[in-house]
Amino acid sequence: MSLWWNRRRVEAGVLGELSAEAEQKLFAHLRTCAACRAHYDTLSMGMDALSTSARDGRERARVLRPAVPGASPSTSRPVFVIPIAVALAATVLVVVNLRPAANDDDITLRGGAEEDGGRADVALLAYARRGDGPVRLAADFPLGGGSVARDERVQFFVRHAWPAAHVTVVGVGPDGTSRTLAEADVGASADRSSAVGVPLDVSSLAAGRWKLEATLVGGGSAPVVVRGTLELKP
Amino acid sequence: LEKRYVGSGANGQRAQRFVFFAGHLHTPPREGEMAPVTPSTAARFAAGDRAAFEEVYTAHASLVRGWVRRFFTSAFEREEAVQEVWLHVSRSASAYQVNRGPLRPWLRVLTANRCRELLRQRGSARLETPAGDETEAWLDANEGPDASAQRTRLRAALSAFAERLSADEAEVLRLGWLDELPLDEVARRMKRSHRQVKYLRLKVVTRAAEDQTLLALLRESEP
Repeated sequence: MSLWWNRRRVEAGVLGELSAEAEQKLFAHLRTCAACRAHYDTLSMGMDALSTSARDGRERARVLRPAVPGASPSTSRPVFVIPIAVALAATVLVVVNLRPAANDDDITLRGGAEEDGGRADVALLAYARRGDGPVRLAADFPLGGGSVARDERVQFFVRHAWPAAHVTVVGVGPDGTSRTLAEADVGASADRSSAVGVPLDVSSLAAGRWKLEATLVGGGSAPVVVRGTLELKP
Repeated sequence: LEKRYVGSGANGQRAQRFVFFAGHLHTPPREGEMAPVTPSTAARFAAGDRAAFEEVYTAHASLVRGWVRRFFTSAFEREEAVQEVWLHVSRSASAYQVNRGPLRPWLRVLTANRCRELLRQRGSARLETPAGDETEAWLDANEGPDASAQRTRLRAALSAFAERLSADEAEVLRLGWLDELPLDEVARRMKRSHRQVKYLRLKVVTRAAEDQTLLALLRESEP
């Protein structure tokens, strides 16, 4: 059934006809849908048989996307972004230093060598909204975690001072499964806050404690990672 | 790119159209790819320079792709894993020390570790991968003269495949894949609408995905 609905989108994805954002949405769907993934894999084999250069080009665009500010259209703002922006303007956000840059003497290849970049001006905000109800600030990382209910939609915002950045928010669920929750290219804005992707429907996520990690990559700076936990109430 | 014409005859048009497929698609890595990066580039890469990261990516993209292919069978998983690996490389760049050795083995370890992590996270059954010193030989096993012979066979199969396409499909294949023209330009040259060209492209890909000879050769080149 899912393939029936998503067939065109899968085919467009294989043919490289989707925007970066639409492609990431498709990938998020493929992670959870075996039928669509099988269709994607089959067509990808056909593409690879013809030429690998199209696939390689798409890969290059995905990997290097943050290196070309403005090359990728900014994320379309969801309907409730305007009230959120108003809420943001009224919210005093305290920005704290992140973990200082590593100064390793040895190369540590097994998980210990990730670089936070020592940036002091990045925060990840999670706003939640139930139906058409009011928007509330659910969490402000790295200051503190929060909680959301499974019938709420969650919108991530990143607060930064970069001209442009590629942001990925990855969550590790209570069962240890990780998934990309939001991803987008963001640019500078007046209040330095940018929406990361579109509002996330969390009803399909497992209830419990989610570890979140937002990574900002861009503009010649070392990547910055912001971490926190978000409780997903049953 | 060799665009050779082979005369005419009863099937002259078709022969004219397809002769160059045999020599172009599935070429070895292009110039700049797989070339070692200079120590200064490596140093800038470690310092977080974005341009240096691009150089490192260009030089090693095809290697990393090949290594990732050893771990995952699904095209989607591979695409995701490659992206994850490069994100991991970008994050870990500051941990690379130029005086400790070249980038390639460092990238190989990072790739192998990240792929294993991803497999573990997904609870994948395909975890029987060599560990330690054996990893290097296992990851590089698909490099060598066999790869060149496989490419040659694949090109021949592609020529045969192209012969079986309709004229429109073949034209889309030529303009879209061989000449790598954007959709707009393909549509303009073929005097067709975008929608028609998209449909033709999908037909060509679907037919390629159903071509058992092509698929068998493609699988042959898999680890």
